[in-house]
Amino acid sequence: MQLIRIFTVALLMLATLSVRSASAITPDDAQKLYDRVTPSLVAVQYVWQNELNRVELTGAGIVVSDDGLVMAPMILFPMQFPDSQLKEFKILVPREDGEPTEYEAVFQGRDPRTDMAFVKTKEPQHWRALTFAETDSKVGQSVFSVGMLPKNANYKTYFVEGQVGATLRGETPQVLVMGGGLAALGSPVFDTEGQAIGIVLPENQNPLLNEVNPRDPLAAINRPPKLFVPSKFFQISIKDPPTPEHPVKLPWLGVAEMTGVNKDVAEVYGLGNQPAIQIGDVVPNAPAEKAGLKPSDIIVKVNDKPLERGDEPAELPGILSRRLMRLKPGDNVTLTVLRDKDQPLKNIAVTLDEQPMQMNLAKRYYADDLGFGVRELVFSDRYTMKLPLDQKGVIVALLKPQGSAQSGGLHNADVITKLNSESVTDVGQFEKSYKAVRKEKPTDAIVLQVHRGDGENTIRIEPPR
Amino acid sequence: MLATAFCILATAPVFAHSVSSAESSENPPFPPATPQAVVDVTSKIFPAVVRLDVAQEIYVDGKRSVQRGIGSGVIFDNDGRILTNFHVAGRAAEIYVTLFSKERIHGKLIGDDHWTDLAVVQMDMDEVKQKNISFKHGELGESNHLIPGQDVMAVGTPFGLARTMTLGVVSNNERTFYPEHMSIDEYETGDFSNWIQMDTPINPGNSGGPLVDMTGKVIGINTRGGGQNLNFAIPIDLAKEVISKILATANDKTKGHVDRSDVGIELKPMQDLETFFAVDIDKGVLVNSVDRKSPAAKAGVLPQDILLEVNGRPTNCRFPEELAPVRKMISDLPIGSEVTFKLKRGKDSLQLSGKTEKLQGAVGEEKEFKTWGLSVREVTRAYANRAQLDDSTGVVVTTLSPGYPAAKAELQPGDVVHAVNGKNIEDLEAFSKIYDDAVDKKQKAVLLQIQRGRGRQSVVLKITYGEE
Repeated sequence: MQLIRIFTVALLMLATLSVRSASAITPDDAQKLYDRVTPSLVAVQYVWQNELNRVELTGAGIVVSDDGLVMAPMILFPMQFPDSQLKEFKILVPREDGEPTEYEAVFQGRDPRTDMAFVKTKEPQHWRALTFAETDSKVGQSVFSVGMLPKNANYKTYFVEGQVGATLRGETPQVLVMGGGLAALGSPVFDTEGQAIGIVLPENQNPLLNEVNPRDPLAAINRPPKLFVPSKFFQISIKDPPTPEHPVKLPWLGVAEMTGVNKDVAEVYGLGNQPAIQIGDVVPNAPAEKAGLKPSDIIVKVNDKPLERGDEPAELPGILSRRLMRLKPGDNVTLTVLRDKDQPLKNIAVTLDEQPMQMNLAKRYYADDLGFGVRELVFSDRYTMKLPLDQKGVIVALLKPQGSAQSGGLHNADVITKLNSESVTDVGQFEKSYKAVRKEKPTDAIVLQVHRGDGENTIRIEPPR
Repeated sequence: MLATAFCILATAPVFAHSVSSAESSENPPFPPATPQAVVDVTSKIFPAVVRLDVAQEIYVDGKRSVQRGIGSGVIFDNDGRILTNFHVAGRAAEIYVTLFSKERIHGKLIGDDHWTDLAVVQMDMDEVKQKNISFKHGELGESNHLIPGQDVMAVGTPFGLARTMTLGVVSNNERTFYPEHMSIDEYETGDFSNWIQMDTPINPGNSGGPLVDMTGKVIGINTRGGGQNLNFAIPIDLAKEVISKILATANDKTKGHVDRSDVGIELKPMQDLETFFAVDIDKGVLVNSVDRKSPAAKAGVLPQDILLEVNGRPTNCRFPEELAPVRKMISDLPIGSEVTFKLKRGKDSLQLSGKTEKLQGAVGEEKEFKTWGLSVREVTRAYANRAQLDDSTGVVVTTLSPGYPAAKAELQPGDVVHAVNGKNIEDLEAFSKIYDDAVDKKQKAVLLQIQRGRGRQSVVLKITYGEE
């Protein structure tokens, strides 16, 4: 009896010992990983200099090539910030013995295929790059991440351990990590072998290291992120990063408002269990329309392969968009569609075009005297506001608070079609006309005709005395 | 300048005293609120004022329901007809009328007009006879001679309390709310007249009651409150017109209503734009916007045209207060009649012509469809324009019943249904027919084609029928 009792106690003690040191790697190995990785973690900083004010933004970046190329989450560079207003790029390398060392840098561009962006030091460096391995994560597997604390902690790096809870499909495949969770947004994630297998990229997280919520400065630590994106998803960006001379050129199909077909609709159309996407609208004169696709067509195959599934039908359009984004303008793609119930499937070949210019590249002009800024109309403006696709004019992008334009009744998103009696065609022409009018008659009010909502409006703006 | 002003002010009381004593005894500028007058008017008007308890029809969670509220009204003829606000009694499913004698009887909505926020209710005269009730009716006066400062009295049942009268003056006789377009639960209102603004305190429950002058005649219908002692009434001259049109079109089958013309032009006052457009002061009104596919659009009217005349009558509008009369003049034209626009465009003078069409609001007829679990509305021309739809065919989803087929299929308010089971839907009637048919046949899967934003989508309603 005594022996059994001693034996049981010993067993219990062993068990508790092993539970306490349940980490998948030893503290020594953890320290080694931390020391190896930390030099590859840097802060990316830039200034958004807009017409009204100046904002400094800093976020976490990872060195991906020895000569000083750094990758950071694209969310740090919102598309709403015009590219021409992003200035004073710097890479900050944290140090134990003082403020970070600053290196002048140049913005390389965004990659919407992977939601990553790139910045490179002006002068080539000899830094330690992090290389990513493409592996699949298994449930229960231990993962480690090393992240950067905010500016108020001098960007010190910290180590987090977690366990893989699930792998999730979707427009951006993600891995769910429980246990201790993950380090802050933008941190690299490692497996027990020390291989970098992903980057922390959850939604709804503040990417800034220099502006923290004063009520919750340690948000990333108190509520650790729990999702990371596996390397397989963004590896193409690292292999082929954008540069200012060669930005990423996205292809364009010209299909809008796609919806994933749910099982009830699939049943009515006789589609069985195959994933399918219904086209909501085709853009006039774009590849899809030219190839003969129509609204309500249901896509069931791309290049003769079934559609990639998500975790639910609503994810199907996003997944297809991501897949198509990896093709190039000029590529051919064949879509197999069902046009109506009880009809045979059709194969439609489409030649992809280049994605139309987005608002971040649109030319701008700011009328400082009356306090309003305009920019070139882009495709998405015309499409969402249901304007003719050849609509001319400029769109109001900025209103100075309490300025003359705002008191005169001008609104953001108004499309200016006439300045006094002259038709407005584009920003260049508007700038020229506006300057001439203001110079010739500086004390006269200007009268704008704008398109707003479903109608027009005549706005009179009186200059300040 | 200030010194002179002071002098005038200092002497004013002396002047006023001598003037008023001469004037008041012979010809006051308006009937004054002397203590006797107040008492007389009160006793004259009280018996004509009623409290209205109304159950208004609304659609909530995919079903037809009621919303209960209290307002006031004034009996205006011996046949027992009551004048009140549309927002009190419009869309009424059930009305109770409480008279001065405290007797309660049933009432019925015989007509309404949301554009002027007025409604006419008929007392159940059989019940009146049966219960041997006697009542008095108010005398409708005139509102075009009202002047700021004139004494007026508001009567009603604020908060449901029995007849209450409050005294005050006319603060403004041409109140406008330009440029905001007012609405009552999405129904457009206030485009065709200005309001009387008065400082008689009114509260929730006063709506629909009379505003009377000191001869006891009804000169307005109390309609909305504003800020501190800042309240608004509909002028009685306008109400008289609306009453006669409602009574002319009311019968057992249809509610009385007011038909108006529309040409599809949104107008803006010329204020400060005269030099820019090179027009004389007080000449013309600015065409701010032209509705898609409207008579004006078809005639070729463009934004920034200056509208000078319609059918030979001048349309001058320099200030916001002058807009309502111009709009009214256009709306009073016969529907479907020829209309000529005299315009100035740049340096040129133009005459364009078209045909007026019937004015339609953005809120169409609404109906519930219980088995499918949703309520939908007719898509009107005005709604289609506002929502930038291609045309006004189809019906728009308004509310959904949680847990029912439409909600489970993830339909959303604002979705426009264009086809059901492969058949295109023209209007609410067509939709109802197909629904009745599908429910009759106990159809378990219904295929809808809807438009949401810019995209078309197929939606399937899966319906389970309970054991009968």
